[in-house]
Amino acid sequence: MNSPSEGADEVDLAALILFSDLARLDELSDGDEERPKRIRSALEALTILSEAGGGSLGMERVRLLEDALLAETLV
Amino acid sequence: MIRRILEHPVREFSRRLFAADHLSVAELDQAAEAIGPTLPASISDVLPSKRLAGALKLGASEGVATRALAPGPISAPSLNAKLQRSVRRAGSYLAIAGLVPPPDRRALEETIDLVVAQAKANRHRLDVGQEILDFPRLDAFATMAESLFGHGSGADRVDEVRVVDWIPKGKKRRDVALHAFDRRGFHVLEAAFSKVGPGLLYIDCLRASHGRNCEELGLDFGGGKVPGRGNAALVGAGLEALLIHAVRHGVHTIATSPGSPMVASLYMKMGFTAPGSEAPFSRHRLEWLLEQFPVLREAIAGLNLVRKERNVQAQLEAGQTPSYLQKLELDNPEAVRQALSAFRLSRASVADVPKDVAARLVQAGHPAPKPNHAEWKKELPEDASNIRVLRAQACRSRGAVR
Repeated sequence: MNSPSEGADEVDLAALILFSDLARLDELSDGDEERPKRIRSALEALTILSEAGGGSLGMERVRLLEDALLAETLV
Repeated sequence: MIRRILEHPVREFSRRLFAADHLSVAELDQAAEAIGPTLPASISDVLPSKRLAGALKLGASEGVATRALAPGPISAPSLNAKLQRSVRRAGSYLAIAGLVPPPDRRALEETIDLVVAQAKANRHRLDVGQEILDFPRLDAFATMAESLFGHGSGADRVDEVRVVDWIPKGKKRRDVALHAFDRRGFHVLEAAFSKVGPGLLYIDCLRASHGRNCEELGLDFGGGKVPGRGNAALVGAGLEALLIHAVRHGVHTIATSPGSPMVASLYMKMGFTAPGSEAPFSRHRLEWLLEQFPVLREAIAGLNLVRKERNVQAQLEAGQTPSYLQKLELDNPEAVRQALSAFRLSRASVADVPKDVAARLVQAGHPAPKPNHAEWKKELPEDASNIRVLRAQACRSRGAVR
């Protein structure tokens, strides 16, 4: 990450990927084998957002999503 | 990684579209196929592993990621139960991300079923040559217009709507136009509808704003970043009412012609077909989410240009007159679901439009807007037989709006 603008782009992209993962998770049925992969991907994106202070999502929503996604992995 | 997207073939195809006099349908098909997988399926696909590892190694989220990736269960039953309830209550992960309102799915499905059944009946009536139902006229539009009350807050609320049935200059067909005014008297919404065929309702014009007169928002205004250019909540409420009421009056399809690829994209988010396309609506949910990101906006606009050109070329090659018409087919459940979800999303969006529009316009070097309600009152007097005037307070007192 060489410049602030590049960093901002990365946060945007992380949010973008997060949203695509969340949209897909909303569509997938409970037992679908794609779910764990999407959850993992979403959590990775949330990690990047979290380090950027939450990005456009805000830290509160980032934490809520992290908790909700984690909860699913614990079932 | 950003460079990868910026160098995506969509840019090359956009350039060719602008430069070339003619591209064949086959070439345009090829373009659309190349543009399709613009986006990575997973963050791992675009982040080199070292960078990902670096991103994961810091901060409190390390534990979160590690636990998520670790095999086997983790003992946190009380947290687990609480959060599962939270997810169920919100209805979806996107809802938690603030992108979708907690949906009342049963009500949504009931509305979809009702609209689709009525639209199918309307189309069937036409197919078998039965008498066509009355097309929505002035009073039906006045009923729909009541949905415009109750949105926004403070001075931003719609206070009055004037509905007029008229024949515009230079046109033969009748239009019904809606004009909404906020509490300060700004003309915040203008919409015009006409009937262009049996069961086909056409949106001639639709524009909305916050805290300024919507007719001042022409493309030459140059204020793309000035708040108040649109009012998604108001448009969403109005179009939802239009969709639900129109099917009661013989309509099976709502159509419009987009003024630009971006407008086409907006309509496609709302369940409309691609411009000029005869193919049924297909979901564009991902594009809709992606539009929020400037880095991909150009790609989306380019993709819509390709679609438009492809449809026009296909029509020309089939010996038809090219048409940019976009259609919302109300007997297609997927299209209706997309439309209703989009309208409800617009109304519950977390990204609210700033209310200090006038101050920000002045800051941006534009003169402060002045309300023009008085002019419209003269133009559309309430004692005329072809005009209905609705006021928020009167509608609220008889329980028509919240």
